[in-house]
Amino acid sequence: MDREELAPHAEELARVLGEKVTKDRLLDELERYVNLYRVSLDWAKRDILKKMGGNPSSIGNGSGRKSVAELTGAEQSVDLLVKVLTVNPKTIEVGGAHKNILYGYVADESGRVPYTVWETESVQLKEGETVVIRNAYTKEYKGTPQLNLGNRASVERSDEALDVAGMPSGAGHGEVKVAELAEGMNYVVVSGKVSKLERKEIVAAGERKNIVTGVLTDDTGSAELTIWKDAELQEGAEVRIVGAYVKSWRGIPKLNLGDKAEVQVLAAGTLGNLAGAAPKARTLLDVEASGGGMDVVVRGTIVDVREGSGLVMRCPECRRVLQKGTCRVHGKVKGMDDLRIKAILDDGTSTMNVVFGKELTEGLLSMTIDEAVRLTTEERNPDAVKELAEERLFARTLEVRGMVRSDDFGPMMIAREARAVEVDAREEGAKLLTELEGFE
Amino acid sequence: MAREVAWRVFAAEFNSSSYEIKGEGEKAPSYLISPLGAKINRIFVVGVLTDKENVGNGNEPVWRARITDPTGTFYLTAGQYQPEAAMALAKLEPPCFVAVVGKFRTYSPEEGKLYVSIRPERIGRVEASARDGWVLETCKATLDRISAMEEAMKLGEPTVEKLMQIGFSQPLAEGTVHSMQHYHLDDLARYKGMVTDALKFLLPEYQTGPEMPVEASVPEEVEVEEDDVDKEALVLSLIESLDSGKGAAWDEVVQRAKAQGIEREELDSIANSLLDKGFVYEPVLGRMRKI
Repeated sequence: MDREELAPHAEELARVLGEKVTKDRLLDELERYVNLYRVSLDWAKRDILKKMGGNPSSIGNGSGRKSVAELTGAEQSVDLLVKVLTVNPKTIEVGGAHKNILYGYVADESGRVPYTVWETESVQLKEGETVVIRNAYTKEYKGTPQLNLGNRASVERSDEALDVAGMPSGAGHGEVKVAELAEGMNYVVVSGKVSKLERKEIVAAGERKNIVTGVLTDDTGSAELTIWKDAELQEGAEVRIVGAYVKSWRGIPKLNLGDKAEVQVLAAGTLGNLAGAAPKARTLLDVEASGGGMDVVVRGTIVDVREGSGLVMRCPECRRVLQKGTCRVHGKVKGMDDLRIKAILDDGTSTMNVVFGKELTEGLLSMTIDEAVRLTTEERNPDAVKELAEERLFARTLEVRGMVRSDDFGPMMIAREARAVEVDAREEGAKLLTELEGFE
Repeated sequence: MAREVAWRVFAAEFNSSSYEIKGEGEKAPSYLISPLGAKINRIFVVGVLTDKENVGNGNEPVWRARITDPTGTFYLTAGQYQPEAAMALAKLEPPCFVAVVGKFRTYSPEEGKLYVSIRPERIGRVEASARDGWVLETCKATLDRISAMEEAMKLGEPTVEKLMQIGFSQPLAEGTVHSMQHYHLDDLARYKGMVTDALKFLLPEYQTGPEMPVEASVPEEVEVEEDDVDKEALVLSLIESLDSGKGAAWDEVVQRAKAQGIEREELDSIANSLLDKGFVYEPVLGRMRKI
């Protein structure tokens, strides 16, 4: 790093140390530490402060001030302005000795995060207080950041106004991905691209009112959204929605923006390229918990091919499947051939029914519908195609994408895409083995 | 009623299970709790079908079969109430790779002893790659259970709520709590070792089968094994060279092996080893083919 780049850091040090040391002297020191001894900038600053008699914890080193939503789980030292939502004391055993810790949630406008205070002597927290936390560190646990206040951390009460009002203690969900939306959530913060925007006029309580509907898409999926007031939004805009609530319809979670909710328009490109990107694969347990979604990707093994799979006859009037050449509504009709597979997908966490339509079934079985008709006729077996499907699909691992709804029998997907998953078991196995042996 | 998930569990863990929670009421499901807290009603297995036997009769067949994975053997029984699986088993010729979805069964010949087996709902032939994929998936699932057990041990008095707060799923949290109450495991090393061994099974550099290149450096103390490996490779290549499409005639393999200095008794054990490892199979009695 050259002197120009180091200058602002020297200034920061000078501010902390006051008049004791000149800025040039600090710049020389920084240059020596960073360029000659190759000490990281963060540690150089801390070491210099210590040497010069300053308090190293008085500067946020490295990560600096962040909002809760910006936490990655890899911060070595981070400062936050937050409101303390909950404080719970707990006694744990460390190496045979008892130790008191505190845990709970803190939040700012962007979301909330669980925390643990490991040194209750030096750090006290009170519910409802707004505080500046300095030199905390974060770890990732199961994909979400956890805030840790260790022996370097300090806490100061702050008079700064922090609006977490829409986010009642313990009930707000903070920043989430579209795939995480689930029935009953309130005060969610979610970012994505809006599309299929439509302004509609409705009559509510005898009054005409404009509302806006559309679809919000991020890298995990899409959800329908309704803004219960008039709003100016550009098709394709990238937005951050703060304070929405979630209601589900037939298992599919939908975003609702009431009076308290706010739409912040982000600069184009902030969220990366979302166009055409398939959402990330989710576990079936996770899909089951959220009830469903408009655009869901999952991976699993086909553990059963159900009754009703194979070649079926549909009513030409209403497309209902015929039973013995008879439509439930239109009686005896001349049926149309159709091909479908109803299968059960299982990934070891949960199960889901998946329906594959004609095109996907043709692809999965490598046979056209004409070939399917021929096979059924030649074998004089109405179940010939179903039996073939069982043989070819049982125990196959597929990645499927589609819309998922839920009913009493659990989630069901109408598949839009399906592909075989090729896993390089050797490569992945070798990686996993290295990780495991690394721990021993 | 939601369908029961199919757990991925290795034979060694499944067979060590000795705690059954019987469902009360007419349709309540029963569960087998494994030592690592899998709460099994249904199970999914991919392995080598090594043996099958009809212990019923021609009209009412009851098939017993064995399926091996890198850690041990699963035992299967399919009778008249599993018509699809029984029919499929009748047609399968061991050894071959198969996938099975089924429910657990227990048999307790005396107080305190519990034998477990699988009552298959579906069984079908698969490729070797499906077996490898299953081994990997089952390693991951087992590691998840191990980490839940570790957390539970740290908690001292684990509850389902606490484990779910940490981030484990409800079924795993429930199984883990049940397991802690029944098995009182204090050391997970055995199961970690099982996972490591299963992973090594996937990797060619750890395999001691004929796939191993002869020039690979082998420490002196395992010279005997290297010798076995050479002979297995030799017999395998004999079987391959004598095969004109229907499999190599066993009599010819015996003669040619003798010419190479392998006696009948030794040849039998080499052939058994190759069969067990899934490198060869018997298309018809008296013939052997490379898989």
